Amino acid sequence: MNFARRVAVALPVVVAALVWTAGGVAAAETAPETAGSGSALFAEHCSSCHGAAGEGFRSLYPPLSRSRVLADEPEVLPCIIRHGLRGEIVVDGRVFNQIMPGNPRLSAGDIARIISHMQALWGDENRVIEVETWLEDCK
Amino acid sequence: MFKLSLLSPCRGVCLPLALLFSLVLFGCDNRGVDDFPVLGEVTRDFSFVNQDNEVVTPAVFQDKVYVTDFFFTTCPSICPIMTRQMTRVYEAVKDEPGVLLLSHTIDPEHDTVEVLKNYADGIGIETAKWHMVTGPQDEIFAMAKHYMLAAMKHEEAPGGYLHSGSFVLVDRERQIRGYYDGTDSEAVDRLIEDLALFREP
Repeated sequence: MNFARRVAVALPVVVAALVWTAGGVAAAETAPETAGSGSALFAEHCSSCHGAAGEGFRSLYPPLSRSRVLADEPEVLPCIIRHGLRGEIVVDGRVFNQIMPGNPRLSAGDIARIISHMQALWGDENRVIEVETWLEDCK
Repeated sequence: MFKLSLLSPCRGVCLPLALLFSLVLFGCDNRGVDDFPVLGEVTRDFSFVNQDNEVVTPAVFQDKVYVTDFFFTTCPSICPIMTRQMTRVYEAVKDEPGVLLLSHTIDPEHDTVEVLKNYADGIGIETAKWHMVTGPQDEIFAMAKHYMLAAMKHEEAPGGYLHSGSFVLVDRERQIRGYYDGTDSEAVDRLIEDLALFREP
C-alpha cells in the first residue's frame, strides 16, 4: 500500500478519533451535574456566596478562584467547610471579615468531593486529599 | 394626488397595520405608574435601628419610593443571591435622592448593629441610601407579614429560618406596587426599570 493510499485509509480513522476526543472533552465540560458530585455539592453549598465561578463578591465573600489556600494549605479546608470561619482573612491581597456559616451536615466524602472539584478548577488537582485525617485536627 | 395614489391600494389595511405596529413598537414605553395596581398599603408603624445605630421609622421614607426585603447575614441559601441582586438595585439608584432601600434582618439575636455594619461595609454601601435594620424579632416578623411576605424560624431550614426572597416596591404614598423575585436577575432588571417610573414626583 503506497503512502497516499495509507493516508487515505487512515485519515477517516484519525478524523473520527479527533472528533470523538473533541466531543468527549465538550461532553465533559457541559455534562449535567450529577447529584452528589463535587460540582453539584459546590453549587448547592458554596456558590451562592462565593459565586458559580468562585469569583467572590466585593469585600463580603472571598474569591475561591484566587485563593492560595487550595494550593498551599488544603488541609485547613475541611474544617472551614464543616465548621465555618470567622475573623479577618486576606485573600488575593484583600481583607475579608465576615462570618461564614458551617455545613455540619456534609459528610467527609461530600467535603472531599467539594475540595476535589475546587482543586480541579483553581488549585492542584494532583494534591492528595485526606479529609478524615484533616477533620480530626479541627480546632 | 401622488400620495393618494400610493396609499390607495392598501388603504384600509395599511393604516390599521401601521397603528398596530406603532402600538407594538411604542406601547411598552408608554407605561406609567397608573398601570401598576395597588397591591396593599403599608399602614403599620415601625421603629428599628440601622447599621449606623440610627433609629429608622416610616418618617425616613416620607415622600420616598423604597424597596424592601428580609434576610439574615449568616443565611447559607438565598440571601447571598438576594444581596447581590439588591446591590444591583443600589448601584442603579444610588444617585437618585427619591429612592431608598430597606433590608430587615430576621435573625436580630445574631445580627446586631455591629454585625450589620460589618456586612454593609463588606458590600461598600452608604447607610443613608440602604438601611439594614434590626429590632425585636416579633416586630420584624410582623412587618414581614404586613408586607405579605413569609419569615419564620424553622429548624430544618438552612440557617434555621424560612423566608421569602421577594423584593417589594413601595411608592411615595406607602402603597405596595410590585413584588419581584430577589433571586432572579431578570425580575430585578424589571424592578430597576419600574423604579425609573416611580422615582419621578
